Amino acid sequence: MTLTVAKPAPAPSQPSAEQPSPLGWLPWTFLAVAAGVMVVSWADALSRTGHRASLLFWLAMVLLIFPAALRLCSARVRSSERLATVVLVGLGLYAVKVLRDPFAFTYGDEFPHLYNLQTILSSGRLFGSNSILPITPRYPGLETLAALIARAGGMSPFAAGLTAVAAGRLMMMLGLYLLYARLGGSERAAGLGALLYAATPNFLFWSVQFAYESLALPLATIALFITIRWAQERDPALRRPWEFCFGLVAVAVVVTHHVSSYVLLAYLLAVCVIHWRLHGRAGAPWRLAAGIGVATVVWLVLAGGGTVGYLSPVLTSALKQVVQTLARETPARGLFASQGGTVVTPPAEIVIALSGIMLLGLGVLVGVRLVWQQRWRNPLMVLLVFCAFIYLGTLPLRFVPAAWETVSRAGDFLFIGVGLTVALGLVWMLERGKRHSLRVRLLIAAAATVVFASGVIAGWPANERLAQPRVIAVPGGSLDPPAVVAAEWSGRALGPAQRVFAQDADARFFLTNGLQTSLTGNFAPDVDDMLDATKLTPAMRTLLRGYRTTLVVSDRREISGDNLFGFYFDSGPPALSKAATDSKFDVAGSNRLYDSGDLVIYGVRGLW
Amino acid sequence: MVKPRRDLALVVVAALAACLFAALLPSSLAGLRAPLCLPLVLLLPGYAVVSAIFRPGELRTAELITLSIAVSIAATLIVALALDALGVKLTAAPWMGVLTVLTLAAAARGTARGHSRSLILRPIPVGRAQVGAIAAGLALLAGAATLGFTPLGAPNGTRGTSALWLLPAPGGLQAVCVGVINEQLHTTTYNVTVRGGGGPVRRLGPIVLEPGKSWSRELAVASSAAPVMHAFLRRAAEPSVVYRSVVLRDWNIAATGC
Repeated sequence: MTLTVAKPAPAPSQPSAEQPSPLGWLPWTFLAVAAGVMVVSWADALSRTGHRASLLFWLAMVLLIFPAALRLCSARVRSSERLATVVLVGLGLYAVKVLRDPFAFTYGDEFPHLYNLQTILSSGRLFGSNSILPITPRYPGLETLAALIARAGGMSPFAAGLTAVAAGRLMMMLGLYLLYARLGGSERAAGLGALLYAATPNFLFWSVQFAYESLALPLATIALFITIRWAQERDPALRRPWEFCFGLVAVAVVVTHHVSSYVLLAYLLAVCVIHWRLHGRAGAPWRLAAGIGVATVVWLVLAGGGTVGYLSPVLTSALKQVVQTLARETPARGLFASQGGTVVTPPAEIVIALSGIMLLGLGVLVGVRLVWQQRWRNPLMVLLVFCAFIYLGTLPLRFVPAAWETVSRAGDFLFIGVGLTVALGLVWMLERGKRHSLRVRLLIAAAATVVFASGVIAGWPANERLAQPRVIAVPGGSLDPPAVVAAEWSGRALGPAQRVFAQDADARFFLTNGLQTSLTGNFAPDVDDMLDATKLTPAMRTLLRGYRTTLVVSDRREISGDNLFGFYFDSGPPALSKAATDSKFDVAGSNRLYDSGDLVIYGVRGLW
Repeated sequence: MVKPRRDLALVVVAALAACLFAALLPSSLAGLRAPLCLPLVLLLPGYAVVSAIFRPGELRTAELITLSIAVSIAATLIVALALDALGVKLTAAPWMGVLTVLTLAAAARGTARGHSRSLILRPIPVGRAQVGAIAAGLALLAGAATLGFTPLGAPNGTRGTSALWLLPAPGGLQAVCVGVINEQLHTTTYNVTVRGGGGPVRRLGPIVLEPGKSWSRELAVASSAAPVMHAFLRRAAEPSVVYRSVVLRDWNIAATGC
């Protein structure tokens, strides 16, 4: 079998004489991470109360990354300390997301998953329905885990969701470290690689939202690690436990997230093909690939029937726009711009982002050269290096509006290759720079911090990284935003299962806080048009009848259609749509049931 | 009480304890229940299964921990799918019961295969400075959590609001429910006016509501048909200005409660 690494993984390095404690620097790394978490909590508190705190945010990021990177650059560190450092940083960065949204989920995709969890808890059954993301109940892995956490721990759905994602983050860091250690044959490269993976643009926020990929990607990473360990065993009897573990984990991936299972299958098939090309057919992980292939197809047929219809428009639209952009038929997307196209990234951040990308590219080149020179012929290693190249190749696609999201999400998978490739290059540089050890380590730790910052800047808009006022304190208690209050009122006063037309953000609140069947932009394409129109036409009445709509939420605040800012309190005079967008529903046959100013709920059954 | 000296014995004890505590402890004691019961979801089944299928000493500690978590989560999902397919509701009892049985069976097989790790840990020498760093780190994390999970005052310019609602009363009664929700940032006094249905205009108030509080009332309607009903909300500070208004024209929707 030739899937094994070229160099065996060395035994954990021994502590030096100057480090009598096996903990090494771990207490100090822990202190730095804790200080980073404290600083980001402070920055969030300032941001929630209307103050600017971006410098504090960046100070927190430096505290979270730089000391750990510096330590991981060192040669004389125990394996256990390296692993603990990587896990600490991973969880510390997860705390940044938790402290940004400490009271409720606020990412657009989190609401449908929360609703699925609520449905499992209330009905005790899987595979319910979901009006906003209908495909999500067909992949119930994350919600099922969270449901048992809620049941076993007596926790709220929100707390259970946070715990499930924390378990995912823990597995991700452990899985990356073990995978890199086995593949790269170096614990030092493993630690640095796992740390560098945090530079994935989605790592800080998007990859730890309460959504299916946050669990599936870590499980898939562990499946890759299992593949390597399986390959290192030559005796079929010794391979069986690994095959069993792979089977269990692969099934968990398949039932949790469609794309993750397809990517895992693609990785394994690619490994088989590369193995065949390099070493012949025997010894490749055909059985593992076949196993996940069968599981994927069976699930697609039995439960995930709508997956193809869900994914194909996204992919075809992305491909079409790539072609149109190349032909200059579509304007390119502005980099460092928000969803609406407004540039919100400060110039200094743009400089850091571009510097980080250049450093990353340089790191990949050094790593690739090293792999090439040493003629490592491990198929998974070859595949991951190839992924690193593809990642760099996909960066220009961020100019294409429809491809941007697809490329951004593909980056989570491709960056597994980037982390390892760059880390191998860094270890090579560290070993060459032994004479100036401290200076080289400081430079590399600083470069790693810049690369990480670059990922953060590319991943999330500058004005969305810190907490917004989701819950505010008032004398005697706290308040939720008006749309939450309206949604909760609808559930309390009218009961669940009303069919509601609403703007994007409001619809999500009516789904999870009102337990209603919410219909909004993407899945009932005319809803936005209807809500934005100033006249009620016969076609709209037909639409209301067609969807059996009982309630319309007319919210004149422009942010109600914004899936980033629509979940918070408005500060200052709100941007409002025309009054006629609301008053058009105030006609015979409709009931004006609820009025909170800019937000009005109409009972529209009489308009059918 | 016998103290477990081997890892799989501890797994068995912890699994049984988790199952028991999940059944006995109320949800209100989540702070106590979570650390006692969550290992049965996130660690113990995987640890037992991995111990049962691998040769003793085959895995490094990090590998053992990683596989234990991943296999536990996979087992949780597979058990849930199986229970759902059999028509069993996913409540704590069957779910945790099956996971406990799985854990016990796997632990028994692991023990039979000779898997056994001592629970006696070697003391780790820790310096005073290291203890200080850990203590300071824990204090910082506690501070971060306290600050992070505490609601804070609204940013300048945040506007409060108030909601007025009107619905037919539940149970087919010839009545309406009218209510007010105060989402202002301070205590506010309101007056509500309801008219329609052939009866006199009804004035309700002053209604004094603290932030976040609500008020509602059921009002009989004189007319036997479903009349058009109007309700208006005025703030005591601006009595001449209609602040909110609602209207019931078509009684084809009903409140589930007033």
